[in-house]
Amino acid sequence: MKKRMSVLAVMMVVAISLGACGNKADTGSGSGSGSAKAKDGVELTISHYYLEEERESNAVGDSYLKMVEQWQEENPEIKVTQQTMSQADYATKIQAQAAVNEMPDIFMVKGSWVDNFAENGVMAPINEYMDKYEHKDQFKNGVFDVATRDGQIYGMPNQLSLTSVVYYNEELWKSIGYDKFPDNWEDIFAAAEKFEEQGISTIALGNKDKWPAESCLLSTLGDRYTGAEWTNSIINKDGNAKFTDEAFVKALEHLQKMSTGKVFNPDFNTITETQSAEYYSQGKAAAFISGHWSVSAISSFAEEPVLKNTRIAILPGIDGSKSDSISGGCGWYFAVNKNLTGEKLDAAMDFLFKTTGYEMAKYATETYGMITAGQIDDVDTTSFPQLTQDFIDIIGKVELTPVYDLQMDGAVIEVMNTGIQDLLNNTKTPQELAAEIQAEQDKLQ
Amino acid sequence: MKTCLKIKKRTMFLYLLPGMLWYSFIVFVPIALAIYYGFFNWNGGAKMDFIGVSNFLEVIQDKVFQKSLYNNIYLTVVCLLGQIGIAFLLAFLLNGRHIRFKGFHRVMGYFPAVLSAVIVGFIWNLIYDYNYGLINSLLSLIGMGDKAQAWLNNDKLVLPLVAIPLVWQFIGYYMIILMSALASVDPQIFEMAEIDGAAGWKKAVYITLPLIKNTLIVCVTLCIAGNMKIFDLIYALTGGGPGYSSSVMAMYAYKTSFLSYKMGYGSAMSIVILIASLVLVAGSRSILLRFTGGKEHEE
Repeated sequence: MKKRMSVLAVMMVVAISLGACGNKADTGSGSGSGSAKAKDGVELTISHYYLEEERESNAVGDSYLKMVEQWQEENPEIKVTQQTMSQADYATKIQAQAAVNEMPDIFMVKGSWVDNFAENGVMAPINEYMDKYEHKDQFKNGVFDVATRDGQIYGMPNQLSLTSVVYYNEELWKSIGYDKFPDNWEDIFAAAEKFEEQGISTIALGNKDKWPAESCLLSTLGDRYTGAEWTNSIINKDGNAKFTDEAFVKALEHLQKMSTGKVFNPDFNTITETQSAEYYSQGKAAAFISGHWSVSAISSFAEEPVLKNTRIAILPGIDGSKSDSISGGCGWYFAVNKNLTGEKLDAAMDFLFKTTGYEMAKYATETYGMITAGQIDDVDTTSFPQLTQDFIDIIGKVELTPVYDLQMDGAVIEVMNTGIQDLLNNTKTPQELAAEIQAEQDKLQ
Repeated sequence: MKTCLKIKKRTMFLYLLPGMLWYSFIVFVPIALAIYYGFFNWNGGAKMDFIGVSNFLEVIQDKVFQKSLYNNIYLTVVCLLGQIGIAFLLAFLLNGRHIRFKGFHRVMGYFPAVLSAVIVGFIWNLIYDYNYGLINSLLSLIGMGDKAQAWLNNDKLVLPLVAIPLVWQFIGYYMIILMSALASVDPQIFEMAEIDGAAGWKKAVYITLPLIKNTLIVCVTLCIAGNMKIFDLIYALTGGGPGYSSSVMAMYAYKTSFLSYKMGYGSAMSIVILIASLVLVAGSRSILLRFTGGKEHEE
């Protein structure tokens, strides 16, 4: 009797643990497009966050998936398996995979992870293949910088983020006597007073999620004050530049002055970026500073008169200096697993260059009017909506400066973003905030 | 006969083993891992530097963490008074003989508790909204439009403003628990009390409260534990802002781990949160038990 009971108990343990092991069926991995039989046994596993079901609303995603399909058609003997998931899930999963060095063959890397991944040696340098690449001279300046460490290029950029574009309502600015968006800050501050009398805000800001003020405003404004050398020194953590330097503190002062000068809507810290786009689209704000993604947001939110009057500009320079740059750059890269060798490495590199290189840039530009990492000339833009055409005209010509949150350390950015909410509320001085950010930066060296 | 019913200790242990294994796997392994990671300077990659207890020391000295802990305690105190206090009053009223439509009141009172925190956050975001918000509309209606403001952007008011929906949401939850406790009390006791002349608040304080004290202690424990781990409503309402004004410990740990990629530091912080919560829950329980237990001895 007793013996039977103990046997029963042991069996229960075994049964339960077996049940746990039985759950290994592959549930997460997405649409495998590898219907073709693998001849030489070369298989490629790709991990990314472009979901098939979001294809219609995601121009970058559609362009990438299109290139993958094309490559698979040209190389039917290689089996390509795609693991797709949402961006947040992807970030969690790939970090965990990096921790145990079990990366997929080709995967996406965020700019701010490159340091970590390069240190841990999970990415293969692509220099050798880049030298042989026929389109290697047809990329914009600096698009590989974020993924380059000690001369080794670790990834191909597949999207270009432009984070600081001024969308303005021409009619509203004309109503207070400006033909176009001012090219100096005095006029903007003066306009803020006039707009306030009319009950509308000059620039719509939705900073609840903390990144817009930094990514869309300070990244460009900061560069106007500090210059590129300072920013690059911060990014490289060489200790030469400090956030407490006068130039950066002045940039913070400027940002605070915009808030105290009532340039923004009063509820800037409690609404999201999307809501601020709605403010602009409803004519409650005369301008809106945001990234390239807002072309489609404004096109879909804005009422006809607002949309018709929307023009594109860039932020003015400081003290009449030239303003020919905005913050922008590549934030995400596709990289190849360092452990690959021989045929598999060649196949992976071929896949990488064909699906994220020049061809993809060309497709995205010609199909969607996107500005990409590639240097695509002679695009026929006449078929695109007016706003997209204006965007390409003006933004296609400017220089790009680093986007803070794409390139600086994540912990530093977190302190900066949170502090900017206080700064804009006038509950923290620029000097205090600068010291706090620098304290976080000091921990990195 | 006797030997049939008596199970040997070893057999009993074997029967418990599957459950124990699962439990320890699900509960203790993650905690042990968090303690382990807390000793490293680790940003999620393969590189981990052992740095001893400095993460734990840094957490205790971290100004933002202290601010978040203060906010947690503030919310706990407000919720203890607001949630359980109001819930007790409502339960006491609904248990009386003069209230009609008891079922209706019970359902309406419980209704907010079934809503997801994100929805509650959205509803109250609309109430506090600058342009369309209920409060600002009411203010301008009574001619005080100049007092209108972006409420959640006021760093001095944001914590009470966050506490209001929190209290509102969980009154019904504690009301149901307390009502069931009241229902289990023999009605004859109340009748006797009334004959003896106890009515109104005297009945509530001297008769009802002591009779349901064990349930009250459970409610207090639930309330403290719930408020020490609060995250979702604040995430939906303010995201911890402006600045760190409405930040709470769980949110700061989340941001440290997953936005700043300081996994080691975040793990250490989780352990400190766990200890702080245990101390508060255990401390409040022992105080309450001693307090009420002492009373029993006097009788």
